[in-house]
Amino acid sequence: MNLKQIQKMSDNDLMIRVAELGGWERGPKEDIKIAGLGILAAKGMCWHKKEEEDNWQDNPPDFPNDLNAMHKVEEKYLRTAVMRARYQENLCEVLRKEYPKWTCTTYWFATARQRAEAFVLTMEEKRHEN
Amino acid sequence: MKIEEVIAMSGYELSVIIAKHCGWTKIKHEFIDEPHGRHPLDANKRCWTYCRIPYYTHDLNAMHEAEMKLTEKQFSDYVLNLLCVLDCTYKNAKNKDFPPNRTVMCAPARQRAQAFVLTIGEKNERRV
Repeated sequence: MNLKQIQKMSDNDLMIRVAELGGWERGPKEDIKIAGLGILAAKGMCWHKKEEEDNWQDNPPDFPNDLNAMHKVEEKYLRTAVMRARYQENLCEVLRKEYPKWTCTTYWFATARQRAEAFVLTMEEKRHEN
Repeated sequence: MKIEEVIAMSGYELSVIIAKHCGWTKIKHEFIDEPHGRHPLDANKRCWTYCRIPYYTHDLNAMHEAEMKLTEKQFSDYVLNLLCVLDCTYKNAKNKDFPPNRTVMCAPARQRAQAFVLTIGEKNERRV
């Protein structure tokens, strides 16, 4: 997936992509039923963090609109200097296309959507390498 | 205001200063734990309801909105102040994997708030 394709994604699609790359997964694997009450959680209709299997949510965090959620993902997945450097390059690339007059500090104040685009690009590049 | 004083301030103290700069009025926190005030959009209306001011030191979305209110001159000062605050904060940190210019990109809300308060303060004293 290249930057053009990522930038064409809707906020909802981008939220799902960041969630998938950022340690969230859909669940449950089977319908959870309670006798007499019917289905409590339908198969694949909820989200949870991989390390918190019992903590179901209707949706993952709104990554393209929430800087706090993006910050948590950055802290968790961009721990090495190499990954941060790649992310920085990709973030600059995102901003360069949006603001032709960008300066070297513009990317420090990037919006959640711009960070989400750069994050997906960085993680996709890493996935292809592996 | 010295950088050490700003770093020693509590989250609420920093939030109140930033909120005032962003147009919040009648901020009170004597009777309630969390500071409340009148929202900037309600300032000219006769609305007597108070709501909680944003907790800038814990909310990057609120900090981002505050950053957008800085003038061009203030913004360049803010960038320098943010570098100084991060330098002070991480000077004694155990994890020195990342050079400062990498960490600024992902600077937490608290450090941004401290840099913001330094920027809007009348007497800035930077330590580089």
